[in-house]
Amino acid sequence: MKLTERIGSVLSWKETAVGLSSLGRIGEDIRRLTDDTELMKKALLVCDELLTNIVLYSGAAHMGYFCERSDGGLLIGLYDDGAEFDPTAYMPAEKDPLDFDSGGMGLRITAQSVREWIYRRADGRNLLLFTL
Amino acid sequence: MNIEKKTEGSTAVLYLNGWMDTMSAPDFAAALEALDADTKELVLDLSGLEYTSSSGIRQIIAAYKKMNGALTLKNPSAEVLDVLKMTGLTKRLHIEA
Repeated sequence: MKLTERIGSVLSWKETAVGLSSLGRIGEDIRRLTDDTELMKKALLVCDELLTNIVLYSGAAHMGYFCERSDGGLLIGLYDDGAEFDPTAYMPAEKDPLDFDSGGMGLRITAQSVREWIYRRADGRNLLLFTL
Repeated sequence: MNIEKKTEGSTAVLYLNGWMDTMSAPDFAAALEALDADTKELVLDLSGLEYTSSSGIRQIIAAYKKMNGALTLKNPSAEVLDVLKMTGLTKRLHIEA
């Protein structure tokens, strides 16, 4: 199923606390799905970057995730009820890499790490699905 | 993440071991803050660093700026090197494989 269809389908979201500690819970689920260390680390990296942005910048009161095996890799979803933000449309300005401490690095890493990603805003929530 | 420090004259070597993510990157920041004032060169031995996210990379940039460029990254793993490449920092930092 294409991501465009998947994002509109019923998904088994797990609500989790809006906090960096949720990365541990998401990581446990990812580790259960794959014993491919490289894939696991890449998935955790993307989740780390996206979760950090949600926690630090979105103002969300609720967030959730799901993850499952898909096409030999992983399909992961994140939602939050914070400010509307489409990470797939964000294009960090080209700048000296040493200026990345001022922002933009996480999304740059994410965009280069995912195989495919899609965003929707629905019912006051940011929905993001991505494959690795 | 575990951080060990050794000093060789005016060169400080920090050994970063484990995972450096958003939660553990502050430990590295604290280690940078604790460097002796007369440290002239900093080496980050990354041979034991299995993973880093942008939070860790941000601290590496902070280390570079604190040391006015006198920073060497040694033996990054393939995954860590990938993240450095994605940010373009492999073109700006001195990295020894």
